[in-house]
Amino acid sequence: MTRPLVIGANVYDYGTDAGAWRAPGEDPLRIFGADFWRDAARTAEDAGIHAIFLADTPGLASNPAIRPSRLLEPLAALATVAAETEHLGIISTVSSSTNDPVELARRLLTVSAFSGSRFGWNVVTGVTGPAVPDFGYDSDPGREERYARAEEFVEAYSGFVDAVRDDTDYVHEGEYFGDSIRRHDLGVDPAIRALLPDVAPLIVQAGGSPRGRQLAAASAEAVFAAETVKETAAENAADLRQRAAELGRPAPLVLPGIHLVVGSTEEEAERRFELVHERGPDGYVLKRFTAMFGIDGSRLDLDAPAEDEIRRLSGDPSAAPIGFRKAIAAYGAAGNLTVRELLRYFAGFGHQLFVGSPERLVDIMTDWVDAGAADGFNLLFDTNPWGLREFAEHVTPVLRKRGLLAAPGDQPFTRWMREARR
Amino acid sequence: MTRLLRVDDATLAGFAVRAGEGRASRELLGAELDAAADVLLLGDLDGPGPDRTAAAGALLAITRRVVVVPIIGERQHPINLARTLATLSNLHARRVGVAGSSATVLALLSRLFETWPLDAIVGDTETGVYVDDTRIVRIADPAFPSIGGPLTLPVDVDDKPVTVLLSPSGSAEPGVDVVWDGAAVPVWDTVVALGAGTDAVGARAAFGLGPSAPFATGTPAFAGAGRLDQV
Repeated sequence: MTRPLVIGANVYDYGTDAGAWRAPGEDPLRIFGADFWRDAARTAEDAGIHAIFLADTPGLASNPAIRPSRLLEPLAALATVAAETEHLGIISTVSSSTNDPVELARRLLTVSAFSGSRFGWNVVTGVTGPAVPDFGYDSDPGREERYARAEEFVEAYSGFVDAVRDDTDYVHEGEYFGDSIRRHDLGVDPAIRALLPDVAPLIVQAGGSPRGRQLAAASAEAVFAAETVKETAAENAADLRQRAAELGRPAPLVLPGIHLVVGSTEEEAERRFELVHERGPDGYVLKRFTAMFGIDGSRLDLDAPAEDEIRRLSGDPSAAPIGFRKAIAAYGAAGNLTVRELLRYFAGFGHQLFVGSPERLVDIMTDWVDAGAADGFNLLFDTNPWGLREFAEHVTPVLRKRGLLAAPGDQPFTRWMREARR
Repeated sequence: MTRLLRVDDATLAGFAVRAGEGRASRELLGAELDAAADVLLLGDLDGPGPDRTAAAGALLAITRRVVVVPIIGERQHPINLARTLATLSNLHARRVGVAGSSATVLALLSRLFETWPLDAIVGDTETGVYVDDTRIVRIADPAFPSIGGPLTLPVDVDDKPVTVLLSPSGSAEPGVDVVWDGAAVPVWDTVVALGAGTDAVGARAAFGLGPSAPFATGTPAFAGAGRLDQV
């Protein structure tokens, strides 16, 4: 019997597909209204989804003229999601490269308290585009420095939460941060302290580089993994569990992403994928693909085996997530796909793409969990709220019928997730 | 007459606990807040305090009419702050302002609100043009030369979040909409009787202010390359 799944839904604004904001029947300004978030919140909670997650970048990562993405500040949007629901978790990406650990700890404790201890922090390290000088950098600090800062950031953050819990002075001296704060000046009210440990945000991590995986093993309670091949996913999950065990920690819950286009039938899902995907800007997917791999697009042979082309042309762009790159390359190699075939699967993103019926989706989910490749999934709909509603209508009944939707009961989301770890 | 109340950090923490108790508790709290005042100033006037923009987001989500003005907390980066306020302004019908003791920081925030005017959004699903990107700018601020945005989302430049300088004296100037003596603002200290509030209005209307007067200068943020090269 497959153990029940943890299901998260990434509802970052319009959706994962570059054509999402142009989806038929949708208002292109919909994400700016609180009703969009209230509706998404209710739909997700009613569908048995356990958390809404918002990915984020701290500045405009790209020109929104033809593809808007990740516009709203996620904590502000999630406050509306929390207000509308009773049990649904809220998880936000916040970058360690653009914040102060003490300030962020105070802020996240407040967010979590108002939500009823339902908040998770997805720790990322990115700072890109016009935001680089805004946050005091001369240029992209690079992966190594970003991770060095992130490791110390999490240590300082955790030290601050510990000081609040123990009602002691906070002292941290490191390469990037240094602080000494008397216990009376911690700035966290005793009423909030009394909510610990549940009010402490769940720590989530998504990095796929070796350093990112080690950070996850050392500090994360859940991991948003980028995986496309079950066997590789199982190996990586086992590696993560082993790393955590060596550090004496429970293993983080492993939640691979699925870029999801579901319909009541295979044909309906395929039509839906085409309908939204064809509305993306011409050349967008190829541009994203070449940027992710650091490839000069003019040298790429679309009809050659993807594995060979990636090996021949790929660089190591610092700002491009390693996890996505490895996941997409692995899928191309496993299926012996041409570049053109892999581009359709990539679809401009980087997670596992699924286009099909609810029964087949749930079969795949079950297979992955049984193989040790996942404890649940982080769903990314091609378009919102359409994709979320389709999931609720078609997939939730199948999950419920098979007894695969875990029911957290009345305990706070953070506690339920922590206790669900292995 | 605008009814002002300041909610200190201890009371805000109490609100957080109540909000965390469930939807019914949140609805009652929201009704109390809507009835108690037209404008709520959030936070202690000194000391580090918790972040009040997070509280502002939570309180705006459970209220329908009251305007919420968080006092800037210690250490929060102006870009993160401006982005949060811009998001709350869009989501909650302009019912948000921001207060602080530094006129230069408030002016920076006010300039950042002009990096992407809301009416630059075209939203043409047929042609595939979401926004007129020539109107998205990186602003120049004399006090913070390295910070210029643009923010990740637009702001209604006629109805920007109100900036409140907390000072015993002084007057409005570009970037500072209102000057308050924070110590003179009555403090929320009891549960108030529920009553019928007036209809929701944005922060500027609640303060009796006219449309925002744009004052930032900036340069296009996405000049010099094709749009596809900037995805």
